[in-house]
Amino acid sequence: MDDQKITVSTETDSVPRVSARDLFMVLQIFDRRAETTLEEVRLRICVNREKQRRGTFLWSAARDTSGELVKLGLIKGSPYARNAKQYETMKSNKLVLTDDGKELIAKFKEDKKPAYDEMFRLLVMTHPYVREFIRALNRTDLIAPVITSMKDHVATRYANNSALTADLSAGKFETKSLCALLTGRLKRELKPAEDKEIETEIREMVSEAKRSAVVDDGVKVAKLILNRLNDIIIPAIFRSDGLGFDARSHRALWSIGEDFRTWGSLRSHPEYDGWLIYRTAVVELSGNGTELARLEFDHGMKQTGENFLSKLFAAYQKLQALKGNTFVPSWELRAVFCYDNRCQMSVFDKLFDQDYSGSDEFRLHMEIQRQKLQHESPVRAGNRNIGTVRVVRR
Amino acid sequence: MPDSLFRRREECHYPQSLYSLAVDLFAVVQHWQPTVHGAERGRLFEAILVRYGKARELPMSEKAGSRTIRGVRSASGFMHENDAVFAFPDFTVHCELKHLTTELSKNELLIFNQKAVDYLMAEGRTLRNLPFYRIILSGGLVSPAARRFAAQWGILIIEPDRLPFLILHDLCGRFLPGVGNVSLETQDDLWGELPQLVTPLQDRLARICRLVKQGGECVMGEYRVNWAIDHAQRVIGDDLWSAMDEHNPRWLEDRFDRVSEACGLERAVYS
Repeated sequence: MDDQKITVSTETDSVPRVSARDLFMVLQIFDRRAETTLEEVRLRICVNREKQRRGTFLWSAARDTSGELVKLGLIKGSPYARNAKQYETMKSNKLVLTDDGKELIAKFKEDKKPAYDEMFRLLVMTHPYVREFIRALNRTDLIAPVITSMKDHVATRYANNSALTADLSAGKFETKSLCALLTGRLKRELKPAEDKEIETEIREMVSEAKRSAVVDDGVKVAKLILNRLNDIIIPAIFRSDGLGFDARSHRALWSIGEDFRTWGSLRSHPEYDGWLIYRTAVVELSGNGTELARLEFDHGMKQTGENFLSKLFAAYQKLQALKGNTFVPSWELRAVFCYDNRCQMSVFDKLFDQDYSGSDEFRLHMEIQRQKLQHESPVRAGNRNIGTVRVVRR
Repeated sequence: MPDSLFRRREECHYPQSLYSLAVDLFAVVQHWQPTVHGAERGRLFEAILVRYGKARELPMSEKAGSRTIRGVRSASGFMHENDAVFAFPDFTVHCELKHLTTELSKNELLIFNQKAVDYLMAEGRTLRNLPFYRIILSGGLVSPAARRFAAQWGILIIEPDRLPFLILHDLCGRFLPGVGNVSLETQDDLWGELPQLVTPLQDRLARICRLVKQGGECVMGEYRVNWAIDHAQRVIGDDLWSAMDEHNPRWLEDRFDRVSEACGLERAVYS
């Protein structure tokens, strides 16, 4: 992180927790008639996800998607139900397409790419948090120390759940060890404010968790603690960047970038112990910082596809030097490649599937994936999941 | 899900597996959309519980059509039919499943209640000694009289749109953010009161015996039952449900998805 002074925004916002695909899918309902209801939106989402359910299933998805379209000025109406009960009373509320919405639908039918760019422009204009995120990402790549393991990310002795529950029931927690590990993962010292926030929040968490630690089984308690820790650590680490919202909102923001191909997130980069979020396009804000001034995709299929195999070889060499193995895990190779070439994982996946048979200059040796990956999509070559890869120059 | 929240109260009134069973079954009645009608729908509903028991590796000792409970025949010799029995090592759950388009009739409730007494009077020491819980799982709404009858006899009713007493109890014992309308005192009151409404049958029978022998207050007064159903379940229950929705709008949907995946409910729906 650079040391330049960062102005923290005082604006409040809600992070859109919807996918671009859902936004366009719902917007297309209005293609046939300019008026619909919240309930029809919900039913459409259910059909789209092939979920035949009764009651108010996916009510929150209908609310979030319609709500976002209202905020973006593409439709009019009031879909903001706070809970399922309120949804019941609001489900017949009318949603009406606006002129901007009509224009965007026409654009989408003609060519999807400019329609996606326009939607992204609207998101940037509407959401201060998205703009803060872009500013932060333009300063530096972000390392999010997501906590997924008590043993590796909190304290070695918490490999045993009973050590964790014993500590919690005695009102103790390995906060020092957690902070020390965080320093290593972030590759920087924690700021005093971060340190203080983490300590205070953990103290509160421990006092709440005391009774669960006595009654519930260790696995369940560890899971609850992991979730809560992410909601403590992620906002604390990013607060000084103006991104002090909860872990779930951060994840929503990371996936927005993937939807619009503007930034990517990697979990398996061997040099970083956490999620790595990096730009994959040039996204610049206007002088007053409220609008999108420039959006340029300079690391798409075309640019990344030029000399793909030699770029892959470079990534392989780097990974091999790090790991010391001739065969390297395919998902780590993908992470190193994507980060070095600033491209999306989906771009790598397509190019790899195209070029896995090699060329006159490079040959690829691959082994089938034996174990199912828990948190990563598999790298595929010719309908097979690839576990390890070796790249050689002929 | 309630178990995604830290506990506020340490004492346990019910086994954890009973709470989990209640949430899973509530998710099913709330979101499962049957595609068949008439008697077939009822049979499918029963089959789903069997699949659920298998998927969750629950000790289902009797399934639909069986004539025993925990292997015990009725004392009278009547061949009662049971829909499902879960024989946990430390308690028994007897389930009655209904997916009707009409209201559950008085006779069906009376028969379900009397069946349990008939089995309890038989020669089954294990059955008698372990807490014997009863659940009515209804795909449709149940009448107010049926709700009152169930509360009087300690039976848990799981029906759509009303948070079952057991989930309400679980939530009252946890740190649930955003329940401004329900004070901690009210939650503590419910924490103590609800275990009187869902009880093992033995407790209810013992109380009736005490009442007959020694006199005193009735088993469950009218006001107490009405307050529990009309206020605790309807008003406070809705507030807690709304707070859960605000905490995680997909808490029940995710639960249903998990049950659905484990039991292959989609196959049951589309086959």
